[in-house]
Amino acid sequence: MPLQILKGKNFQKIKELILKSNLPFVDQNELIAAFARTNNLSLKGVLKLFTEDNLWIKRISENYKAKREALTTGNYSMWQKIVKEEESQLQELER
Amino acid sequence: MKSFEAGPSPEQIKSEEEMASDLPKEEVLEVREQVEEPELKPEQAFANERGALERFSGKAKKAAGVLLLVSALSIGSGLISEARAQEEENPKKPDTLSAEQIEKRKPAKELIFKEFKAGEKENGHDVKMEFLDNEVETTLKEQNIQFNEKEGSFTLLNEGEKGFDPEKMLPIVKGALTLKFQENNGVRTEKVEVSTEKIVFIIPGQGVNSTTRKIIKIKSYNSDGSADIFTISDGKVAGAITEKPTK
Repeated sequence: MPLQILKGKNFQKIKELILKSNLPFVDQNELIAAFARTNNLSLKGVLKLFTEDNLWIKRISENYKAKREALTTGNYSMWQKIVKEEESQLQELER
Repeated sequence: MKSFEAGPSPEQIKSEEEMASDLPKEEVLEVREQVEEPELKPEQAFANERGALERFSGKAKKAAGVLLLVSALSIGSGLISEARAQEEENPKKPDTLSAEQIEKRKPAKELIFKEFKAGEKENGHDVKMEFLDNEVETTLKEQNIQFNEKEGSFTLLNEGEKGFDPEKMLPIVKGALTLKFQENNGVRTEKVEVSTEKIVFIIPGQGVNSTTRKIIKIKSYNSDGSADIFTISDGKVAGAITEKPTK
């Protein structure tokens, strides 16, 4: 499977935004590596979200790490907690 | 003084029901909930999240799509396109995944071991790994990572910042290599998928283990849907497993 991900402008812009953010270096790398597995079209929404409010970079980084942990440990209640937190973040956006 | 060896008398031992009745009801419920908590299954977790987030609209709907994409990436499956569909105006998909759909998504594979013998076609042939896309190489260079095409190893040229985890870079190089078999009548090139857990990063001054491993596994897809997983050692094919999808 050829790697198409790195060709996209969306990925490059997201990468720049992540690198400019105040996330720890390790978290920056982790997030960039995650988005590197995604095709350019899927990243359109990510870029828009990050551009409109860079607080979302930290939120998404934490969300990704938490989800990884919940999935790795098979922790059902942790996953539910993550989804509840997401719902509250989205409700905030709707206001 | 009371002897500990004698243990409690039968009157002192309470049944489980008696012990439960001694506890406040909330505590009993909490204990039962902990015991009965289902294990988190990735596809079900995704369906559960999608069910919870699909009621949102407008800007929140777009953000929900991103959160689902993050889940798909965490799961590491082919759910990414579904996550994207969530962002679109009229997604055509069921509310939740049925058990049958989940079952279909499970990678059903059968492993057949194929050991190469001396003189066989691929055995001992030199292999060379190259990037399909030059941009991958550029990105690795930006990260100060050097790729050794013969060994299939990656060297971090600088020590990097404290806490740098090379494992985090693996998804970037996954699927980015081609395999070239050097044959008598020329070079046969195949696109391959790299087995990430066998990609080696060499970090200067950080342990012997990371510098001595030179084995890499690569996956080459065949037209019948099967895949050959080659083990490469010191730039030569050392063995292979053919992985066939079960029917």
